[in-house]
Amino acid sequence: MENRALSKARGRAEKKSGKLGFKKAWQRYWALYLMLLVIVAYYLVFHYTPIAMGVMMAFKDVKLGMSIMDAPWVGWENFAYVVQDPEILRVVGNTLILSCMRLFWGFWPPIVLAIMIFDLTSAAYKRVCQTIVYIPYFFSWVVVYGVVFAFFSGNGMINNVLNALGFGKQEFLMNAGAFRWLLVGSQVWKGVGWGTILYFAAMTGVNPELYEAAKLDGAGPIQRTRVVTLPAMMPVITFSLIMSLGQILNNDFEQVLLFYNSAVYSVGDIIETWVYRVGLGKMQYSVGSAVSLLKAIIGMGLILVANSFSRKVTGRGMW
Amino acid sequence: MARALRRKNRIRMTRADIIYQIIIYTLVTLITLSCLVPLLYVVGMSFTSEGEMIQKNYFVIIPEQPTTSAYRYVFNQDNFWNSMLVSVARTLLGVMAMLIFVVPGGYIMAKHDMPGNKPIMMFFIITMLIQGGLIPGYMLMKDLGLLNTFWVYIVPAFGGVYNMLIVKIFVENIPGDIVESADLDGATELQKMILIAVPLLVPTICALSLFSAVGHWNSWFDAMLYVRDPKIQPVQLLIRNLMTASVSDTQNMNMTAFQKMTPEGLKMACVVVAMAPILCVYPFLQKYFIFGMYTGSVKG
Repeated sequence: MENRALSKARGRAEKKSGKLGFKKAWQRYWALYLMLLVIVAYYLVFHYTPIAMGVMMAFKDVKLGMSIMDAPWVGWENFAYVVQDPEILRVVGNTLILSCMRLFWGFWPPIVLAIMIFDLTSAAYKRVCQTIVYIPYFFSWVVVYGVVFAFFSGNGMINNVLNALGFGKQEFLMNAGAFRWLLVGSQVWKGVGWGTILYFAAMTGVNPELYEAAKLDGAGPIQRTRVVTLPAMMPVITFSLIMSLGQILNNDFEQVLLFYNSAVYSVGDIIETWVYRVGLGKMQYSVGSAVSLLKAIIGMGLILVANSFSRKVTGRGMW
Repeated sequence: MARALRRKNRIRMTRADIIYQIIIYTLVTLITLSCLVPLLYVVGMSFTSEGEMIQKNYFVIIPEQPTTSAYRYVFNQDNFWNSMLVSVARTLLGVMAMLIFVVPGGYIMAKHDMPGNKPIMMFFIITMLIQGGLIPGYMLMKDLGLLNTFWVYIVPAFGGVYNMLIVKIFVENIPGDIVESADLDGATELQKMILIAVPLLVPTICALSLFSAVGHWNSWFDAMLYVRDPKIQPVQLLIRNLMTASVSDTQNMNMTAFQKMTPEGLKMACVVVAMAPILCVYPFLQKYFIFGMYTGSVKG
């Protein structure tokens, strides 16, 4: 018994004090090192090589049929073009607008829904509702687009209702004013239910006696939420808000690519769709890479800042 | 006891509580219905004949003469069964590819006494922070000769740093006693990983596999980017091409005649076919999905 406790303590000390010597480590872990070698080699090829290629292309002038190695260096020329081109600036603007809308509408609805479902008195009904609202999360964007299409296309449900009420038909999917709201709305539809799970975890940790005590003190349902539920959820709310701030540049690119069409490029074109359509499609490889690189670096900075901020404030980070 | 407590609660419900309950029951019910009704509407449309739609100016909620012709048409397409097969194959192989790297990777990250452990973790985490982007990724696939092959779905699917970090947490939480007793038996690290860690990780591995499987089943963009041959397109891309055909004509270079000019009912039948597998497995696997979500949130 004592022995085991001792060896446990020693194990813990070993974990803290650091590493084995190389010879001993190789004897014990050689098989793991071999596996690691394969994994690292894979990551070098499939994750690090594209980064290196992207950086090189951003500083070179790569044309069709030219290998990256052969292309001439052009210094900061591509970046100079990027910061001057009005189309790219508009695309960056669109990205930021869409990101902010997503951040706002992705943030509070799951919290409200989680509190509402949690406060339902019937446990069985609670479970049924949870099961159903989770479902859309598992659909592909293609399926979600199909559902949106069924409602918002020229012959869709909404138009039929409008028509029956005597209004004219509207092509919502090709309407620049409606497009962003379609994107954000379908994102909320897909994600709001699943987003509640994080908050349920926080709420089930609350001692029920706290609610009882609040009730005895004459707190109404809204006050109970404010005084008991929200404080318990605060760490999770803070964490997810900081993390989504860090991810603010990462729009759901596949969704936009699926939903948009030439009628709504003016509002729907975001950085990735532009890189795909113009950078890759029209073979402006170098300018496209420069845009991607700028976005990647700013995005990395945001995530690092968000992560260290979150560690300070909530004591947890992404890693 | 619990029931007695609840009864006590119910007696103590104030007027404000009752109003609050009415409001939240209404709102939650509305939100739940908003998740369910669109699906039923899509299913209804998929059983509606084109004739009936035109006759009623596309305003059909429940078809009067339901028809399965759209489904029969879809199921009779060679392309369709091909793409289903591609989707199933990429899902199975993709999940396996993920696990093959993620389990050892996470296990190694959890071995804190291994020299090089910290830099290795940084090496992996960096790839989470910065990616090469679309154009270099495309160039790489081209240089490797993977364009327009089935393997372009599988080869990039190995690994996944986020999943490795989850495995790492669970390996770290394996009780020290179990590992020590294996040490006394003279087990090698490889044996310890395969015979001790992996069986204990089964719930985690299941959850990770499920999310990965859903991701593979649902993905279409990689196929659009890398693959031209309709024979190796997954079912989601087939449906995507079908859906977007009428809205824009700019992006559909690789479509067959069957995909152009499709009546609404046929489109909706395809949407139903794409979501049916998810709906079929979801009720049985829900708890694993939720477990997976919790593990993601517990992490760190």
